[in-house]
Amino acid sequence: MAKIMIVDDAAFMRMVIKDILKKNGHEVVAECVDGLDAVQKYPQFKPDLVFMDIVMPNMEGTDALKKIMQMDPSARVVMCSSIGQQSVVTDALKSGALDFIVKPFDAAKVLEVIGKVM
Amino acid sequence: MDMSEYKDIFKAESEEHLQQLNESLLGLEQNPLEIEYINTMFRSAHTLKGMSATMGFSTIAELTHEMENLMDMVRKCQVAVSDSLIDILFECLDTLEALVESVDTGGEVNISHLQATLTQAMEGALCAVEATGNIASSLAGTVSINTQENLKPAHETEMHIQLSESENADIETAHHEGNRILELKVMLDPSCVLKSARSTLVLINLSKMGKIIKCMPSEADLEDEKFGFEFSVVFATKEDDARITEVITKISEIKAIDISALYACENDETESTIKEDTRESQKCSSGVKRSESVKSIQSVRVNIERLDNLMNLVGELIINKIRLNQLASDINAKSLDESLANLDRLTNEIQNEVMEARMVPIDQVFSRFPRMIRDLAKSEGKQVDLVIEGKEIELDRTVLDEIGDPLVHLLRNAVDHGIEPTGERIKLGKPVAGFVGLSASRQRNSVIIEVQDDGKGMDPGHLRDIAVKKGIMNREEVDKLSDTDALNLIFVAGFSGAKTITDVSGRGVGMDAVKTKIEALGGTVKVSSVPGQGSSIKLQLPLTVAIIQSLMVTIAGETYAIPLANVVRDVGIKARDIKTIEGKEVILLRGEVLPLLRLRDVLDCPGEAEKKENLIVVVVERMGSNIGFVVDQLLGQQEVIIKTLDNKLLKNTRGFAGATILGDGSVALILDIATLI
Repeated sequence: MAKIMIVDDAAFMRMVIKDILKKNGHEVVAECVDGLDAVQKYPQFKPDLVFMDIVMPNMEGTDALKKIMQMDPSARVVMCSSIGQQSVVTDALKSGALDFIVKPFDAAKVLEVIGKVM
Repeated sequence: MDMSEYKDIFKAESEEHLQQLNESLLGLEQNPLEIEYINTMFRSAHTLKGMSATMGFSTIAELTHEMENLMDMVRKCQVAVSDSLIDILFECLDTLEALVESVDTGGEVNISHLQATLTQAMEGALCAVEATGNIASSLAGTVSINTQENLKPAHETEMHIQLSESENADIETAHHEGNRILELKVMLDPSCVLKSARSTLVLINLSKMGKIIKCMPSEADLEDEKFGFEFSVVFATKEDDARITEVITKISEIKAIDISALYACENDETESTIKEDTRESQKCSSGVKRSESVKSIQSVRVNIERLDNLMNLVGELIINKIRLNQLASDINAKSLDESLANLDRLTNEIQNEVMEARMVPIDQVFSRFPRMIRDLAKSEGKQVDLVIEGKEIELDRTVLDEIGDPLVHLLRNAVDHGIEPTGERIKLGKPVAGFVGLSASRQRNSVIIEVQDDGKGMDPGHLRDIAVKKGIMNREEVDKLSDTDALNLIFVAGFSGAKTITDVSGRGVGMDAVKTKIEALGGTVKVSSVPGQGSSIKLQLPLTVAIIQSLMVTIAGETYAIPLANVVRDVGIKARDIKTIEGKEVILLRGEVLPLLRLRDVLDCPGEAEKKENLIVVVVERMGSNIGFVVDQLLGQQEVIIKTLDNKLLKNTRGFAGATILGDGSVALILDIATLI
């Protein structure tokens, strides 16, 4: 079981991911509505893993990733991307993201990634 | 995975994004250079794409994907914001709206035409871009979901390892340092979507275990996805094969890795390894200004039904509290006073909190009007400035849901009948753009919504003529009307002020329907107008419909509540003053003929009424005319909590808006004047 933080501006996406995680015995310790929120909540909740959306208002996922990696170089961040964002994802991976999942994803994909990075 | 349980939240959130898209697009039309609108639209389209793809709504995903690409090109200044672009985007939003709407019904919406238009818009821009010699970055923007498979696996065929001098030197050095030199062939899973990112992840993991000497295809090509499903790496490492295999296959979507030792290396061909600056396009997109100061609001979504239930329970609580108070005073229990006072305060607080929780900003209704007015003005060739004020004012959700249609009608009237054609405005010396104002303000326990325009206004004389022509009143009657009353003629059923019925107004709900609706909510409608200067229609609405001010009366020993919004006044009359016209009872009151109805008969109460000389009459207003209800007794004004009669058994009951429970535990019916007679 991992303590997981979800960062996505769409409540819908947060709900989908959260349900997948909870059904499979993981704990969602925090939900963030944008990158800024994530940067503020990360030190507070110290999650084992962060699912980070990329395109968000106020602060994008890649910027939040960089800030979190600065705070905690051992942070485990998985990017949630959409088709057509290869360069952004590549950039995020170079900045320390451990892996990525591509929307639309299913439960199996999410769990596979957790298994791989934990 | 069953996604159906997410449908509601998907719809709700999609609608919010559509609203945001609409607002931004309107903003962009006014101010085509404002980057923030473009960014917001890009983000909303992107979010919608991700959400719809997750739900499996591929049509929405495709359309939003292309919109996102188009917005991306706009923000990279590859496409200019033109009128036609705005029109295309509005069409996209309308189509999206229809698509989101059809999620429930499963209806199909054909988007191929729109897709073609979008592609055309982007291709047109591409040609222009090509001319300026900046193709690479824009190509990336136009790869659509469908064409992605068409990317040629340019380097998939057999790869010869050709090393440059510097690479040879690297191998030499690595070999001396005790490294093994390997050739790794990495095969990606064919289902892999972001191949470039996946290959980057492989390279990042490899570089933690040794040194990457060469990639085939080059790293730049890998990042541009210019490869099939496999690539090779010349790798210097001290790790053994098993460890490398373990690390690499642990990455998702890696089908296999093939490791072979590479000792000898032929060749001396030099190859330039200058990396393209693939970051260029990204820099541009991340140079976007953002406000960093936005605080997130802690909120949860609650089904409106829950709030209704909660409100209902609070109502029960209050009724029981009133009973308790009454019992305490009956038995004269002074010791209960303090705790009852506390209970009083607490229930009041709970009631206020629940009422607050049901309040939503009126902006939820107002926000769709700028778009509507824009389309309307455009279709009529008029220029209209819509000025919205007080959109932060909050109203009960139930009231809010009901006022949308009436407001649409009032605004349509303002644009259609109020604002003059541009040519006429110039002739009159008025500003070219007509003014339509929509404002909300709070006044004690009600909200005032006003729709104003600076158009031609309404002429009472003209309205009188129409009323006569339509047979609503005869000439003598209309001439007796004051100017204010003449304006009120527009609320009479069958009266339409339009000389010709156009496409926009003069259909659907009329002004009479507007008035009926607002009154059903316990509100009032007032109209004022100055010919040549414009009109104003003021709606006064209660903050909530759960609690209404009522006049309590008794008829045949039963208590009834008459909503105060309907009551004009109460008067005492003498039975001998009652006259009959065509067999119906009437009375002359202040020079007006007031039809009388004995509520005892209307409600079919058992027993005979005692013959009294002094009768009590409650004068109520209905559809613009007054009616007097004869009641037995007046009990006074009271706030009552409405219990609706919407269960299966009672929902077709006419004449009653609901019931309420009185302090003594008895039930009183609330009369609904509109359906009672």
